[in-house]
Order: sequence, then C-alpha cells, then structure tokens
Amino acid sequence: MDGIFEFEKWKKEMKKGLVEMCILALLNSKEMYGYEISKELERLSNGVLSIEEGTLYPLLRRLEMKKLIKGEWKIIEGKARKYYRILSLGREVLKDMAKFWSSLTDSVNRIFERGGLL
Amino acid sequence: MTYEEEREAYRLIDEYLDEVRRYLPDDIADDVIEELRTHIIDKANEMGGITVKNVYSIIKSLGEPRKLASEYVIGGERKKLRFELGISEDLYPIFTKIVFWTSVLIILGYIVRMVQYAFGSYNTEISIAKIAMTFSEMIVALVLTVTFLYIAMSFISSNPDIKREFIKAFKEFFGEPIEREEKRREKARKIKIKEEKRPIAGLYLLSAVITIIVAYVIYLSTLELNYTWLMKFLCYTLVIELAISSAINIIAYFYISYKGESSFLIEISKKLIQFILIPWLLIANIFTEDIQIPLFKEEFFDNPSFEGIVLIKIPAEYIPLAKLLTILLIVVLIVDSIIAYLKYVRTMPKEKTIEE
Repeated sequence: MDGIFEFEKWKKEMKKGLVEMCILALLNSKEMYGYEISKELERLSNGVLSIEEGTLYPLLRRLEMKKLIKGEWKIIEGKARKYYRILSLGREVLKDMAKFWSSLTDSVNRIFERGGLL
Repeated sequence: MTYEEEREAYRLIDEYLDEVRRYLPDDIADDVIEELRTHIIDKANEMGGITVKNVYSIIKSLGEPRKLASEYVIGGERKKLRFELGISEDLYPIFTKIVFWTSVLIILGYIVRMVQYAFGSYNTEISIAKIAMTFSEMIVALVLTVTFLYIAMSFISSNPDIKREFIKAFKEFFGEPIEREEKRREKARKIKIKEEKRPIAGLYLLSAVITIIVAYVIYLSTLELNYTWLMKFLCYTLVIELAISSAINIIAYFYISYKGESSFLIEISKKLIQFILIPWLLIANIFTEDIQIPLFKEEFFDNPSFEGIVLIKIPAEYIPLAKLLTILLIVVLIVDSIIAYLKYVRTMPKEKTIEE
C-alpha cells in the first residue's frame, strides 16, 4: 500500500486535523484529563483515531495557546491531574468544524456514489 | 512488585523527565513535566503497577525526550532568543542535507586543486607534499564548515519563531522531503534500540594486535629515518600512546570475555590516553617548520624498505594551515573525550534497565 502514493502519510495528515476536532467535541461534553482524552478517542473510534501520547499533550497545549481550551490542575479522588475544558471560542470553532465536516462528508459521499464506491 | 523495583521505576521516570526538561522552554517546563508524570503514573497503574517494564514501555511510546520536547517548542509563542548546543529533531534532516551538499561542494573544489598540483609544473615530491597539505586543508575546511553549520542550526533550533520561518523557507526552495526522512530516521532509531549491542571481544584483541604492529613499525622508522627532533618526539609519543592503547584493548578483551559487556572505565581510558599527544601538538604549533611529511618513492612499492621513504618539509605557504590543524586536533581530542563521557552519563534510559 505504501508505494509512491504514500498512503500512510496521507492517512496521518487526514487524522491530524480530525483529531483536533474530535478533542474539542469530547471536551464539549465534559472536562477531561489528557490520558482520559486519549482513551476516549481510542475507544469511541475503535482505534481509528488513536493518537500517540507524545503528540497528544503538545497538541493540547497548542489548542490551549489558541484559546480554544483551558487546562487547570485539579485534585479529584485524591489525584492531581490537569483537566481541560472547552472555552467559548473553542465552542464556536467546533460548531464551524462540525458544519464543515457534515457538508464535506455529504459531498464526498455523493462523489463516492458516482464513482461506484458506495 | 518489590519496593526496590518501584523505586527503580520512579528513578526511570525522573531520569526521562529530566531529559525532556532540558529541551523545554523554562516558562512551560514545570507544567509539562508534571502533566507527563501524572500520565506515566496513571498509565502504569492501569497496566498493572509502577514497574520498570511498564514505565519503560510508556516512555518509549512517548518518544525520545528531545523529540517530545521539540513538539512543544514548535509553534511556541516565545520571542526571546535562546541558544542551546543541540539541533532539534525536526531540523536535523535539514542539517544533514545541508552538510551533505556543502561537503560535496567543498570536496569537489579541493579535488580540482589537487588535480592541478598533480599535473602542475612542480617536481613530483613537492607536488605530493602539496597534495597532502591540500588534503589536510580540505579536512580543516570540512570540520570548520560542519561546526559552523551545527552552531547556526542549534541557534535556529532554540528559537521557535526563527525555526518556523527557516523550515518554511527551506520547504519553499527544496520541496518537502523532511517528514519522510524523519520517519526513516525514527525507524532506524527503533531498529538500533532493538539491536542494542553486545560488544565483540575478538575485535578488541584484533585491534590490540594491529595497534602493536603499527607501534613497532613507527618505532623502527624513527630509528632509521632522518627525522627532526620534533618528529622524533612525535613518533616516540605515538609509540607510547599506541602501546598503552594496545594494552587497554587486551584488558578490554578479557573484561568483555568474562563480563559480556564493555566497561566505562576502559572506554574512557582509551580516550584519555590520546591526551598524551597534546604536548606534541602544542610544541608543533610553535615549531611548525620542523614538521616533516614522509612520502613513499616508487622503489618503496617494488622493494619495501625505509630507503624508499623520503622526508619533505611542509611548504612555507602551508605553515599557517598546519598550525591551525594542530589546534583543531587538540579541540577534537578534548571534545571526543567529553562526548564519550556524556554518552555514558546523559543518555536516554536503555533497554538494559529492564534486564536489571
């Protein structure tokens, strides 16, 4: 599969943007800590959107710097962890992302139908 | 799980996080390190406890400390200029590419000069001496260029804004082979970790034998050839250095045969013994005109003997180069020993920790 086209690279780039959107979507329901986010992503996507831990934490920090989410240290059940919650700007961005994603999948599906893939 | 094992696992966590911290900007370091620590502990607990094996597998998936830290630095908002002597992982492929092409250009340039000397109007012996010195000049030029590039790239690595712009500009001019190369390096690194390395005792013995033969030949040549006092001093120093190296290699051979692993003390002794050459290099830097270049005449190849060797003095125009070369060699000897030392005290925790 990994010939001239480099399927793995393409997949990685596709996932990169999607993971940001999915993290925002997860945090839209409740606040979570890093490891919890990684497990939820893995579980809900059946491993398709699993993210390396070395990528997740820097990504969270970048989202934090863009003021989309905010991380705060909290002690819950005796354990101190950094919990992330979505900010209002993050919610707005997520709405736009979800809207675009929906129109994107519709369009791609129509094209797939025409191409006999669906 | 014993108390000792848990303590060792925590030591491993600290060691790894300390290494990550070294490459992080100060203002985010505490926060990042604490978050990573809770992650490692949470995951290890889920895997069955804080054991060396679990911790090692987690830090392995987090990745090499410098690479992990560089993920935080890229896109950082820091404006302050910093300098650390180290190139970040994302810039490394660019660095190697630039070094490769610059070296190719330098080598081609010098080859042209050497060919000119070879077919020039000088007599053969002076031509060969000039070719030898031009070759030394090429080595000096390569070392200085790589050093300069290393320092420049370290500076760029330490400054996220400059780095971002630099990578952008590089991609615009030369396309985008960076990620692919990084992937290849990552793969190579993984293989390297897996194949971690059992020293071969026989090689040390072979090295000891070859070294002692070379030492003997140099000793004989010193007795036979008409060397200046400076060259005699060099040759005897070399003989002593090689003889001690050979003895150390024999000790290493027995040590590895018995223990199955190399010894830090032996490895570092081999580096330190090279320091015996430094006094000669310093004196050669002052009395450079007394350095001689031994050249082999054609009859040497028909009938190998010391009569077939002729001694040429360094051409006058190359004396400044020879002075520079002696200083450079001193720097190389010192840096080589420092790197050997750092390699042992400041590396990422290795697979062998699990075996312990």
